[in-house]
Amino acid sequence: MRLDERRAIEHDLRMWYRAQREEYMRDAHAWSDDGKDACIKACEAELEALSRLRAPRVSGCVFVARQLRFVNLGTWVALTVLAMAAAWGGVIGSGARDVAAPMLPTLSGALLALVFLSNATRSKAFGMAEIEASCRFNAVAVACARMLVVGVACVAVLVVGTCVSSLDGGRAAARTLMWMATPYALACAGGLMCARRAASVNAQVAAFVWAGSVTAGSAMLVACVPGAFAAAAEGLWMAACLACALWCAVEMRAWIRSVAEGCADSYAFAW
Amino acid sequence: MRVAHEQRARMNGEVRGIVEAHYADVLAYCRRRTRSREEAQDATQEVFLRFIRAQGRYRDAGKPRAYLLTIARNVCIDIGRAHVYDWADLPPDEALPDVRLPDTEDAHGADGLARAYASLTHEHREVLELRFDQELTVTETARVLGISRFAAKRRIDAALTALRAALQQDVRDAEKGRTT
Repeated sequence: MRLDERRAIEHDLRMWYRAQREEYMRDAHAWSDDGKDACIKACEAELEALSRLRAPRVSGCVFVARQLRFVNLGTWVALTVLAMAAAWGGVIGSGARDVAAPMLPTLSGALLALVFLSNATRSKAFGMAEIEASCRFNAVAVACARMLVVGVACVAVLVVGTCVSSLDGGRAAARTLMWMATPYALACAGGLMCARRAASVNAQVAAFVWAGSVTAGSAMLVACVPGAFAAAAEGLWMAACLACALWCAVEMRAWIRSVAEGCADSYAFAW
Repeated sequence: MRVAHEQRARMNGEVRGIVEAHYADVLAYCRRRTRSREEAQDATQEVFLRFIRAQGRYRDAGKPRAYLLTIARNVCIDIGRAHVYDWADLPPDEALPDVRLPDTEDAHGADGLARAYASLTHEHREVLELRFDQELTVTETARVLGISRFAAKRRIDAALTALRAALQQDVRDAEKGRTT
């Protein structure tokens, strides 16, 4: 069909529909107005009835605990494996005699972020619709509770590694904690940033790519710059750890705000 | 985009505005898919009630027409099931009145257009109505029909092509009638 033919048909069709609608509404004006008023009254009554309905009373702790069932089995398995790796890293890293000793704590920290991100970003692809459709609570509360559940589990893994290395003294424990927490916070912060900025289905992949890059970067740092893990660099590690933790906090806040907006960009794009 | 609890507060103040702005559109859509105007009115009211009940899942900020028409489509299907008829089988020329179309550019006129439109399949009539009567975008049309944007675009193209073929056939038939 030629473009001018198509436009002519579209124009005629629009005019025909418009004329039909005007004619119909002229004929239906009186009863249509009655119907509209009745409809408004019915809607207002429905809203009033809905406002009388109360959400079930659930305390904060119970609400967070109930989110445990939404964390899949693979996450718990991965966390257990990483806890064992962190404990082993604490054992061999506590003395810091071996050049490759920081490898296990740094890698387990970065991989821990991967587990966290897989849970935190999994609803982004659906514009958080999955969360709001699955329960009567708003998406922000549910997203916060799920991040809290997985976040606490990740912190527990960091604590395991730190506690094991503390057998060799407080300073070794602090060092292991920094080796683990810095890549963890860096990967979490960057991963959340990438997931927030990427569109719909790419969000989780973007977060994984960032966390994977941090993991690879950590391994390269241990292999290529062993001096970075020397006792002299502890101050630098502390500063890096604090900066990453701060960035992570900022990104978590931004993530929650994007959840509050229903991950607007991705949802509009997906439609 | 708003989250459910904010949406709920907003809805309380805006329900009257939403009904007043979209009642005619929804009524026209429902009238073409029901057997009588009373049934259309009941269907329209049900559409707005379902809209209010589903407000937690409603995510379009400021443009509820496509969402309302999606609900209207489901309501009309439900009514058809309850009364054991398929709205696709309803005659298209009975629901809304015949009209005159003074500035039609082609030879077919309003009657020819109405005849050609009536000869289309109900899928084609529906997609044309959403696109050119309700003035939805292709994306919104796709959402109402529950198909992809590309499928909606293809269906609109196919409907326009079928309408053009029907119009040409109508003109040919009219010329043949004049010569005999």
